[in-house]
Amino acid sequence: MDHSGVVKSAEQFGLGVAGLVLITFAAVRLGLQPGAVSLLYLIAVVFVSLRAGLVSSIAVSLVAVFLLQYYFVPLFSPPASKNPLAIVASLAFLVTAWVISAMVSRVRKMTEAQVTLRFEERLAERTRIARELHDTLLQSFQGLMLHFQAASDMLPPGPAKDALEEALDHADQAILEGRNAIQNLRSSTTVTNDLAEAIAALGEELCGRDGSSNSAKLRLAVEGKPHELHPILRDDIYRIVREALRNAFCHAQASKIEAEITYSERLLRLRIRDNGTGIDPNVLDAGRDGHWGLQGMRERAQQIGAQLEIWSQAGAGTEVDLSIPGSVAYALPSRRSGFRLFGKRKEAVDEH
Amino acid sequence: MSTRHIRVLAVDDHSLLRDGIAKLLAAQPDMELIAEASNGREAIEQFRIHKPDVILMDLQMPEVNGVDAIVAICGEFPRARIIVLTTYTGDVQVLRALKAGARGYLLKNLLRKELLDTIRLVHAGQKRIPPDVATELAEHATDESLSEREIEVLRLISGGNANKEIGARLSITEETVKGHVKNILSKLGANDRTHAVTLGLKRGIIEL
Repeated sequence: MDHSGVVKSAEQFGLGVAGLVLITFAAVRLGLQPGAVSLLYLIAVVFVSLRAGLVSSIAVSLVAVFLLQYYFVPLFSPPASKNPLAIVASLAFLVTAWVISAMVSRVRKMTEAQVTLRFEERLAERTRIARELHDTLLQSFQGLMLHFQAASDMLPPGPAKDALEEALDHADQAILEGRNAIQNLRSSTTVTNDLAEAIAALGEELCGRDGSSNSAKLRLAVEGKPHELHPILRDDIYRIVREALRNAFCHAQASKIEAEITYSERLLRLRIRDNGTGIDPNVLDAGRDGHWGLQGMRERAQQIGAQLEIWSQAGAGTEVDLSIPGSVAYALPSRRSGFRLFGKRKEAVDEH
Repeated sequence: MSTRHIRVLAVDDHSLLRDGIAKLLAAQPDMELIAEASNGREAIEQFRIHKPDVILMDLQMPEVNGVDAIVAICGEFPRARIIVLTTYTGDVQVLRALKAGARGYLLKNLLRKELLDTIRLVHAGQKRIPPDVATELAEHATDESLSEREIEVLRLISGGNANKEIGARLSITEETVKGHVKNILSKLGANDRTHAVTLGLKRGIIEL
């Protein structure tokens, strides 16, 4: 267990206890019955155990039970009469809290598993399409090229033969492009797993291109600790960001372009801002697709369960805000922070 | 039949490609397509019957694949002259074919321009590998190669299988699969599973 884990657990414990104290204070002021108080405690404990680690959750639950046992129950019953049911009630309280937490986290895990399954299915589907194209279309074209060559060989030298040969050269090029496209169907668009690095490289590439109209440089900021992402998800995010950046660099005539990646527990958020000409509101609302590629961005975002918002005003620049729920974005790497008693550290070797 | 003819056997599972080769060879006074085969097993049979001077051999075929057919033919007839036809430039695939006994290597997109010359060169006893394939070969000459098991695992990854499924298919534990995956990533210099599949395809370790 590392130092930061201990600090984080202490922090979570502190916040949990602070919540309990607040409830207690309110309960005393309002004169709530122990039943109502324990219900409020229950909500607080479930909330803590879903967010925090195991140790801090247990600690907060114990504090709640202790407060109930020794503070609220004595308030309402004469000190002499010890109520044996109080212990049972406390146990029931703990069990209820545990069951609710377990149920909620089970539902969450199932959602994650579904998301991952969808990614794997898409990967398998891509493979199938690539194989199909390779085995049928590409092979047939390569065969046809030989037929054309044989025909060309029969022609006497002259403009007809030259024209045919030239067409064949172009066809060679087209087949090569097709082959690469088929191979790319199965490969990742980003060479690196680091989203920030990929986006920075993209910024440099776009900055160098079309230099006459644009001298802006991409300023990139990363907040939070980067998480591993599933390659399919990372590809989709990268493609959305690429479209947004391309708009900023090539169409917006911006002098400032910023990208910000925020990794938080609950959300992976990417924002791309520029101070350029902005996107025509008609185009933005109707989603009419000229050269902005907005439709593609929206479709991609929807596919990965992300929320995409684009704000723009003529002359005031554009802001693209993409946010993906943590449960989807970090589907497999452990989301729980704080103490990990049984959890293992995930590595790149696991399926993302 | 003049003895100066180069007698060719064409092996490919796509009839359109075999027809194309037939048309191209038909126009050559010094060549003759004497037989065709659509997989490795037929190739071996046809070779035994016709003893062609040169064999054009596709690598990815059903039943018996190209490399296995090359091994079988060269085992029986070490002097067989075989030219590999393929779509990909991957170093591992090239190396496999050359080790099996192939004398020439031709990319399918260069067929129409280089097929005839390559047939003549290989028939004359030379070896022929396109320059960009040779470069690829040199680039990875010192790389540590993947074991048979690792290649199997990589192939299953490329089919979209998770570690658990791979383990079940190969009858090994998930932990062992993870170990293999780790080795694959490090040997290929890949960032993750998808990247490993990309590199595997590019280098011809696995096929589409």
